[in-house]
Amino acid sequence: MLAWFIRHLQTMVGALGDLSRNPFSSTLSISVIAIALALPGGMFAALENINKFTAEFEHGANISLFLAPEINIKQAQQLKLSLEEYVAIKHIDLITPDQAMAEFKSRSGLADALDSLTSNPLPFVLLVYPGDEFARSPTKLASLIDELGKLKQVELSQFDLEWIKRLTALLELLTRAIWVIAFILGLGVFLVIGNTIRLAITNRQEEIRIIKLIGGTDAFVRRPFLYSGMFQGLFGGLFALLVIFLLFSFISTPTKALSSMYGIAFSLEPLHLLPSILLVSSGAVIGWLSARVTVGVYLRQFEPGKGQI
Amino acid sequence: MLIEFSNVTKRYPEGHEALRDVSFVIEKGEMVFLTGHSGAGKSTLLHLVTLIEYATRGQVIVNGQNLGRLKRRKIPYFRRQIGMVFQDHKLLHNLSVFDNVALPLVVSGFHPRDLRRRVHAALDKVGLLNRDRAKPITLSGGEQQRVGIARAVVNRPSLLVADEPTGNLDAELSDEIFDLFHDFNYHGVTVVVATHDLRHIERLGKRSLTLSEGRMLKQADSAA
Repeated sequence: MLAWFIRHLQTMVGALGDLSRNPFSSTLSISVIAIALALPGGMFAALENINKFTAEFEHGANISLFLAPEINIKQAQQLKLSLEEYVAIKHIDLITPDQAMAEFKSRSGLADALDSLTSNPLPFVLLVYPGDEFARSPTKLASLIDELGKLKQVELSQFDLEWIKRLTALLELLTRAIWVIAFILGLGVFLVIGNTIRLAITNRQEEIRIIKLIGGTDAFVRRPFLYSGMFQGLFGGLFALLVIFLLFSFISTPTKALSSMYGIAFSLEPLHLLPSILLVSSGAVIGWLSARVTVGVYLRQFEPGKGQI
Repeated sequence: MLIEFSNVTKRYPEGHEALRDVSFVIEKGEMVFLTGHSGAGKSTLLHLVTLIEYATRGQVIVNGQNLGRLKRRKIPYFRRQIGMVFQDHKLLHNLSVFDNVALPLVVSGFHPRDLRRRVHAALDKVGLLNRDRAKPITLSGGEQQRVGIARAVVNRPSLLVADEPTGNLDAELSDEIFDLFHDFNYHGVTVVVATHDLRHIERLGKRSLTLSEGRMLKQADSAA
């Protein structure tokens, strides 16, 4: 067991040594792998951030009921109380025309123009927060909006987050697209590593021949190449992580500035621990598999009767 | 017996028939010379013994194993019972003499603790103990061949097979090499050496098998 462990350790160190002996070609292939992994990795990270962003919006999803202009404060409060009996509704905020005007003034920058108005044209507004069950189901939400719109006190029933729904659907599509891209680029990584392994095998053909002659198993011949492929994928994955983190830190400050202008506390987050581990380990697994397949193909030449040994 | 050929024919894919209906037996502990002109089939015969090639017809049995029926994954373990010496040494030039000789032990998962002792014993046997740190390229042809022999015997194989081991060496050096083989044989190793140098056959007085154009011409008990 100890001997086995020592042998693997030696092979591992040997594979690292081989990579470091050809710094140019190793760096080149690892960079290519890194780019191929950073692309889908970065896209996923971006997608995660957009998801987080929209989730923040959805959390406060509410229906605005613009009441008819003749409705006074008492009627508005009455409506609020009666609507709050509904199971479909979690709670309701009442916004008076004065509050609305104050907010409008502070936000729009039209304070002077608004001051010149003699009366407040804004109606009472009820902000209806639907229950969780309704907030999550687009069809139930739609019927609720419809229902509320039919009330005679209500002039307009509006759900502000239609675009969020559309965005969510779009993101779903994007997620699938990224999976396809990830698969294609993963295949690219597989081929890049396969090619460097193929070159390494060609360089060590004589060594393989001798090892086979003196009774080396296929597993013994394969081992250093498997480690080499795995390390290339591993380093490529780590390098890709680095690229993603640099990229995100590069655009994080302007993003924060932009989102604060819209009054949203949002900060970019690069890949979390779990997806990071997934990215690096998928690099390593692809490398290992690629080496396994490539060496397997070449080892067939060294069987009896193939004229190679 | 250790090696048994029964009506063995070997035809290469391109149609050349290297061995035709060859039958012979080599007993355990024997030392046998394989002679004949170049192209007579000596190398092919040794390739069949070491399972570098399969026989086209007939049966090859080595160490009780019918090589035609040996499973592919068992081949490495079969080869570990055989020490092979080549005319061109087949040493790895990026490794030291020590590492070259250690390779069969490393390959077969030998415990690292006992490895050094075994390698030094093998190198001592061929008189190159003081050159273990050298690279093979810095050694003379005779010395390189002795490294090759040390590598062949480090695993303590029951069978030693050599294909023209002294092809590139002068008379004095090749005497040394053949004396080494003789010595291994004296210690119980079965030795099969292909050579066209008939001098050694007379000198060592061992059995010889003579091939001519793929046929077994004669099986002679020593020249004496």
